[in-house]
Amino acid sequence: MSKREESSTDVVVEVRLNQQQEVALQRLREEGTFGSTDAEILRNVFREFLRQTRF
Amino acid sequence: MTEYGTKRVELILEPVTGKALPVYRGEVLRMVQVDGQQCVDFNAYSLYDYKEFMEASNTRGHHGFRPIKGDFLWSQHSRNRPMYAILEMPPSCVTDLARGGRCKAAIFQSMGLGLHTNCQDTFAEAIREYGLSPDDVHDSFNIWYNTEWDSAGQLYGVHNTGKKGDIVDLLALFDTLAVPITCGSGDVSASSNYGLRPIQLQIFEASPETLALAEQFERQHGRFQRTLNDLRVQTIKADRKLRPDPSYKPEFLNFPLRYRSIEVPLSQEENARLQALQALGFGQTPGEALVAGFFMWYQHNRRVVSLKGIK
Repeated sequence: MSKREESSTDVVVEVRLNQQQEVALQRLREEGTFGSTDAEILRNVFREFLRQTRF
Repeated sequence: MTEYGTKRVELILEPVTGKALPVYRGEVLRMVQVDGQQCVDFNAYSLYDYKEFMEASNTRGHHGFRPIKGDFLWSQHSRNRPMYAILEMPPSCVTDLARGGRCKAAIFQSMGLGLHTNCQDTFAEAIREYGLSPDDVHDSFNIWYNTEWDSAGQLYGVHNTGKKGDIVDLLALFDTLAVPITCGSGDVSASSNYGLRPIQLQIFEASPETLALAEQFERQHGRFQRTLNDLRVQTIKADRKLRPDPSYKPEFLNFPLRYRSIEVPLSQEENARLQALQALGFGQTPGEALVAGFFMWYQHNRRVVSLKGIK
């Protein structure tokens, strides 16, 4: 398990993606940088977004 | 500076006139301020398909209101091909893609000036040489046209900053019909500082260097272009009246949309920041806010190729 996946889980958020949005998810899955499952990728990209912005 | 081929065309565009000129792939169209202060309006078409033309709005979408040296002029959204690269453009050449495209006779008639020269009619007369109609004139790339706009979105022309000897060089990225004209409003407006002046035109043949640039830009952007073969309707409608096709069945792209739910675990801290994002209006649910964050990141970090120019 990567370091990205080790954080605690306190909340589960339901995300809905359409087939066009899933293309981005697929690209990132192929990259392998943000995890292998859809949930891992969404969470890790969101973390990266938070890291890059002031939110 | 890029080395061009031999000069094959040289002419003076007299005030209130224009000229439709084939400019082939790798060739450079040069426009020179003979006396300075003259606004030039510019239209362009694919030489082999006039339905592909330079589009102000698509170019604006790529480069903003004022294309400069290093930017491209693009064909319309349905094709999205870079048509010209701006190889040379001095800072004294202010360009404009924000205004309503071009001046027309009605503007001057409404001012009590009678039938005054205007860019719509000058373009129409220039392209008539190639069998095109006034309806084929399209929104102009305005060169040496200084404009401003206010906070209410009102646009207006201001002092022309073009200097004698200024040059603008456009590299053709495929075979085109270029239509530069001298703006006809300039003697009664700030567009050309209340005067009408000539512009010198030159065309330089392709050189190994300019062809290499054209190939480089084609490689850079070729994946995102559409050709005539990509269009579902390829014929040009021959009559003017519109009537529905009784056999038409809509086939919208990726319709219907299909959604899938994914459960995403977050820590308390991440969730708090997600709620802050939602509170700012990025989504009506936490899931929508997370999708917004995901795609804001994606757009900034995973664009395959920049659609900006060569700056």
